[in-house]
Amino acid sequence: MKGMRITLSWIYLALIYLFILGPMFFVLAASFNTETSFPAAFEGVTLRWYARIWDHKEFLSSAWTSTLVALVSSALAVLAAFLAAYAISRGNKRENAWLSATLAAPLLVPQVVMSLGMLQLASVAGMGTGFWWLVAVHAVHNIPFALRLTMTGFARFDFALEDAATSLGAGRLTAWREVTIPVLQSSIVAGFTFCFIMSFVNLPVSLFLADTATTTLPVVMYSYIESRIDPMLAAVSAILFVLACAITLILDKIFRIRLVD
Amino acid sequence: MKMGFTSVLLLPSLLMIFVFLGLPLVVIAMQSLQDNVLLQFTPPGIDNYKYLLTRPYYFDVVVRTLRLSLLTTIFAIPLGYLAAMALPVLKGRLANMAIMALTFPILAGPLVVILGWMALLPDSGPLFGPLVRAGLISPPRILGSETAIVISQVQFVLPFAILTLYTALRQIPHNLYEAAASNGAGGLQSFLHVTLPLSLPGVLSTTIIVFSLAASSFIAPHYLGGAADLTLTTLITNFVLGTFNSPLAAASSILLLAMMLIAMFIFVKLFGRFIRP
Amino acid sequence: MPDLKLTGITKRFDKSVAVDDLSLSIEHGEFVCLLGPSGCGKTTTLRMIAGFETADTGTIELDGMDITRLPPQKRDIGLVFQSYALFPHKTAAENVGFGLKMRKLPRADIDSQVKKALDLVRLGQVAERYPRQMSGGQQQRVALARALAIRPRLLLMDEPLSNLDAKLRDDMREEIRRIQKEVGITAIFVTHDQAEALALADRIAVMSEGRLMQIADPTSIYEAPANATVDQFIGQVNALQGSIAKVDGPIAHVAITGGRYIWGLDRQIPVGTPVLAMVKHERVFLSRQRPAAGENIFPCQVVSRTYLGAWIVYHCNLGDQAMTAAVPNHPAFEQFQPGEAAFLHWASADCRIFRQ
Repeated sequence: MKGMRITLSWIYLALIYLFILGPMFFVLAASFNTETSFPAAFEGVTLRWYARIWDHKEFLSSAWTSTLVALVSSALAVLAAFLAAYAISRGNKRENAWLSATLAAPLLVPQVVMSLGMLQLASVAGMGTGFWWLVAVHAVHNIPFALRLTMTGFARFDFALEDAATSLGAGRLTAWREVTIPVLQSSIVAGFTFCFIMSFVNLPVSLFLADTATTTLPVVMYSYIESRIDPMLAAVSAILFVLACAITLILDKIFRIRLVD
Repeated sequence: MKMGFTSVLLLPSLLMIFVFLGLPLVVIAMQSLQDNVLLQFTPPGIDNYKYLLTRPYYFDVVVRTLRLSLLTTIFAIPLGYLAAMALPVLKGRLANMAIMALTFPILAGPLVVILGWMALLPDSGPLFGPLVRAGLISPPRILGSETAIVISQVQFVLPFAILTLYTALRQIPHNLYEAAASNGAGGLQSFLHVTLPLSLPGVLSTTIIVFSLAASSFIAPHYLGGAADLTLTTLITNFVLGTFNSPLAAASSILLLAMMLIAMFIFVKLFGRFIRP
Repeated sequence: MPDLKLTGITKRFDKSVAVDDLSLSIEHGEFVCLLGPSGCGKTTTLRMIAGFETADTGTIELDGMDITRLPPQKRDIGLVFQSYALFPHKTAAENVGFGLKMRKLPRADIDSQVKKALDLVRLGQVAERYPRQMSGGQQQRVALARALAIRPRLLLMDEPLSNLDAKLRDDMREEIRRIQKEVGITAIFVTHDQAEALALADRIAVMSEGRLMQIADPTSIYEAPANATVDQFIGQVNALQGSIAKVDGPIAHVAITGGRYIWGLDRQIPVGTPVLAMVKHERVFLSRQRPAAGENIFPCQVVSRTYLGAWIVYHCNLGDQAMTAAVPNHPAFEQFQPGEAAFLHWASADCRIFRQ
C-alpha cells in the first residue's frame, strides 16, 4: 500500500515536471532545428540561428541595457531588502500586518499596471521615461523577492554574533562588514541573482517604459514576435534559459542556497 | 534609540514602494477620471468606468479575465497540492534539485515559455500534428483559444503553487500524523482530519497568489489567445500602445485592481469559515 | 573602590518592569553569580552592564567611571554567550584575535596574544579550526579565550554552560573558575542553576521579579536567607503557614493549624502577624520513637517514600499540613514505608520565620 503510494507519487511528479519544464526544453531543441520556420518538425541540427543573432544588433544592444538595468535595480532592491529584513528580524515589534502588506504590495499589483503607472507619473511630471525609470520600476518589483530570500537567511542568523562583535569593539557598520554580511552572504547572493535574472527576462514591467533610445531585450523580442516567429527567437530563448539554469546551479554548488526554509 | 534606528532601516524599501508604486497608482486613479478622445465630459468624472462596464465588448473583457483567472486557480490548486504532497518521496539532493527546477520557468522568463507553447500547441505541431495526420482526432484548434491561455497560465503558476503549498504542508508537525495513526486513522482519514484542515491557511495564501498571478498575466493572453479574446491586461496594452488612450487605460487598470482586491476579499471570507482559529 | 557599581537601575519593556531599582557593588577579582528563575531580570541586568540595553533610570559605574550611556563597543567588557556566538566564517585564532584587530594592534602582537589566550584555555592546537569542526566544550573555551584576549575590565557570562551536557558542564565549571582566578578578573555569571551558583560564586545575587533579594556568600544564601523567596529558591524547603503567637527571647512561637506551635528564630515580627515557618528538607528528621528532647516534635504519618540514591525523601502529613523530610541513605538513619506513623522533628535554630 505504501509502496504503491510512492510509485504513484513518482509518476505524478514526473508528469507534473514534464508539464512545467517541457515547453522550455522544446524551445531548446527547436533552436537547433534546421527547419526555417518555427514551429516545425525536427529536421537536422544547426547552429545558424545562434549565428543570426549576431546580425541583429538591436538584440545585442538591448541585452546590454537589460544587463545594466538588472544590475542596478537588483543592487538597489537587495540593499533595501537587507536593511528592511534586518529591521524586521532584529526589532522587538510583533508582526506588523501593515508593514508586511506594504512590503508585499509589488507582488499584488499587475506588472502591466506598474509599467503604466510609471509612464503616467513621468508624463504628469513632464519628463520622458528612460534608463532610470526602468531601474526604478524593476527595483520596486524586485523588493519582495529580495526580501523573501534575505529573510530566510536572517531566520537562521544568531544575533548574538553581532553582540559578540560589538562587545569586542566593533561599531555597527564594522560588525556588519565583518560578521553579519559574510555570514549571510549566501542569502544576499541568492537574492541578488534571483532579482537579476527575473529583471533581465521581465517583459510587462518594461513594456511601456522602453523608447527608441533605451529598450530591454524582452521588449525587443516582443516586437520581433509580432512580425514573425523564427527559430532565432528560439535561439535567444535557449541562451536565456541555459544561462539561468547554469547560474542557479553554480550558485547552489558554491553557496548552497535554499529557497524554502 | 533602538526603536528609531530600526525604523530608519525600513525607510529605503518603504520609500521606494511609496514613490514608485503608491504614487503611480494615485496618478493612474486620477488619470482614470479624465476625459479623452472617445468620451467627452468635464473631468473629473467616472464616465470612463461607466463606459467600460456598460459596453458589452468591454464588459466581456472583465468577465473573461475573471473567468480565466478562476479557471487557472481551480486547476492549479489541486494539481499543486498533489505535487506538494508527492514531493516528500524525493530525498536529499534530488529533493533540493526538484525545488530548484521549479524556479527554472520563472528564471527563463515567460517569453521563453510562451514560445514553447506556441510551438507545441498548433494543430501542425509535434503534439497534435501526428494525431491529426493519423486521423485519430480532428484539429483541436487549441492555439488562439481560451484553453491555450488557461493551460499556459496553469503551467506558469504551478511552481509558485507547489512551493507555497509545500512549505505549508511541511509545517504540519509530524507527530500529529503519528498520533492519528496510533488512534487508528488510515491514510484517507489522516488526510481528511489532519492534513487538509491544517493546510487550509496555506491553501488560502496560495489561492490568492495564484489568482493574482493569473489575473496579472499578460504574455499568455497576448500570444496564445485569439485576437478578439482580450483580457484586462491586454486591453490596457491596447489602450496604451494601440489607441493612445491614457484615461481608459487607467480606468481599466483600476478595474483590474478592484477585481483582484474583491476576489481576495471573497477568498478570505470563504476560507475563513473553514479555518478554525 | 568597587570595580562595578549599579545604583538604582530600572528597566521597563512595554508595560512590564524587567529590573526594579537594582543596586549592587562588586569588588575587584570577585566572582559573582546572578541567580534566579527565568524572567527574574538577570539577563536584562547583564545586557545593561554590557551596554546592549539602556537603563531607564540609575547609573552604572565601572572603575569609578560612569558608563551608563556608553555604547557597548567602548566599554572594554568581555562577554561569553549561551550560544557561544563564535563567528562561523572565522577560525578559532581569528575569533580570538577579533577584539585585538578592532583595537588595531599590530599583526605580531595579535598573534602572540591569541596564542596566550588559547593556551590559557588549553586549546592551542585548534587555532586553525573552524567552529563547526569543534565540540561544544571546545567552542565554549574558545569563546572564553576570545572574551579574555582583549584584557577586559570585566567578564560577563550569560548561562554559558546551559548548552553543555552534565559531565562537561561540571568540568567546564572548574575550568572557568581556575581561569578566572589565574587571570584575576572580576566576573559576573548569570545562571538559573543553583548548584552552579553555589559551587562557583564568591557571592551570589539572588533576583526575583526584577528585584535583588539578597547578595551574600553561598553559605549565607543557603543557611541564612534574607526572605522567604530566597529560602524557597535555594535548596528544597518546607514552608508552613501560621501566625506569631508569642516571642520568648530569641525564639518565636508560631501557631499553625491543629493547635500546634513551631519554635523558630525570632525576627522581631509582631505578635499576630501571618508568617511562614521554613525549614530545609534535610534538616527535618524522622524517627519511630519520640525524641527525648528537642523543640519541634510532631507525630505524623508517612505518605510516600521516594528513593533518590544518596537520599530518601519522605512526604508526611502533619494533620492537614504536609512536610517533606530528606534523609541520607545510610544505615545510621531509620527507614520507613508509606503508611507508617512516625515523629517529625527539627531544631528551632534550623527554622526561619518570614512574613508572608
